[in-house]
Amino acid sequence: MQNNTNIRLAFEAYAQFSGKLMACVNIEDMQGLLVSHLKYLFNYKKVRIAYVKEDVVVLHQVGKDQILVGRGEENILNEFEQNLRSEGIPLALTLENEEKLHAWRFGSMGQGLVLFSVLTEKDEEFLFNHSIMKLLAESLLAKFLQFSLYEALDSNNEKLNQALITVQHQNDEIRALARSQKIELAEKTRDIRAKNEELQNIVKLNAHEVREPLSRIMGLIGLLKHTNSHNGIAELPLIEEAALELDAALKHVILRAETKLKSNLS
Amino acid sequence: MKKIMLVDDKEMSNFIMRKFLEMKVPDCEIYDFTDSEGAFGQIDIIKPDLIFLDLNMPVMSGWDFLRQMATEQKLNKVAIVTSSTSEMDKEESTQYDNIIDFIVKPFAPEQLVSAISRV
Repeated sequence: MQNNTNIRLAFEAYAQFSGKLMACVNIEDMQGLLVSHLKYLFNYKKVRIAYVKEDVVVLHQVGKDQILVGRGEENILNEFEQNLRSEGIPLALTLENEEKLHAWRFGSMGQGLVLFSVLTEKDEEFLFNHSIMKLLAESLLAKFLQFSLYEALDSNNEKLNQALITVQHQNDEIRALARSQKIELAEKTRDIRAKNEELQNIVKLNAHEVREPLSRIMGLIGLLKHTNSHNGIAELPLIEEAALELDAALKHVILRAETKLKSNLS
Repeated sequence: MKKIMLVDDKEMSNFIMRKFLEMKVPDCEIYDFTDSEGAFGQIDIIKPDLIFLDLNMPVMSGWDFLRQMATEQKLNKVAIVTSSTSEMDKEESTQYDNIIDFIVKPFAPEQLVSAISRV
């Protein structure tokens, strides 16, 4: 009857603990919960609870003097915990100073382990219920694994955000490059337009200003021939020949300039 | 009698053209101008059948003359007579419906006769 009452009280304490564990949002909350509520589940001088997931070890230490959350590599585990981790053999020892040490391993190598060890005073008997110890250890591990999963998700999200920032940065660079090329193109187009205008001016100059007086000379010669009044002007054929040559040369210059102009435009 | 208007800022050019026309087309009245603005003012008074028009002139160029004709809807026929052999000028001349010829100086008298025969 006394035993049944104890068991019922233990389960009630565990139910309360479990409810509060659900509300924990990080490992520090869990530490706080262990410090305040672990004493209702069993008696202890010191408790160490270590979660081992791949190469990460997180350690709660709850006791009269020491309270901490350790987080780091394997070296934060002491010798018997390292053995417990690899062998998985539960411990129930009376130490040289007559204090008693109990330790268990729960979980699996693949999913994650919890190493649960309890030290009790030399003149005190360790009163516990094995089922509750197992439930407690497994629910703590489940909570720890949930946080690990969140951390991994956060880390992946962070990586994705970084990738997004990189992509946006590269997009900005590409846009800036495109803009500068557009500006360069506009400058070159302006240069070409200015050159074309210059060429056009040369063409006009040749076509109108230079050729005009020549055409008058040639027209006059033509008139003189038609009116048969060139008797006595012996040089006339020579003037005509020179004028024709000059005309041909000028036509050639105009044609060349125009050809260049058209090739610039296309 | 066909009325012919000569517009060229160089007096020598008008002289040559007048001589050719007197030889080849004796039965026409010739009015010559070295001042293109003055010539434009006379269009409605003379009512020429054909205007021989130079392009490169000060103050009012041949192109200005043609633009002003289009603006005022003067439909008199025009033959361009220019010393320019530039294709650009020839292309520009196709924009005006009243241009019937594009003659490059120096010209043969027959070219003038041909232009006049078409008006």
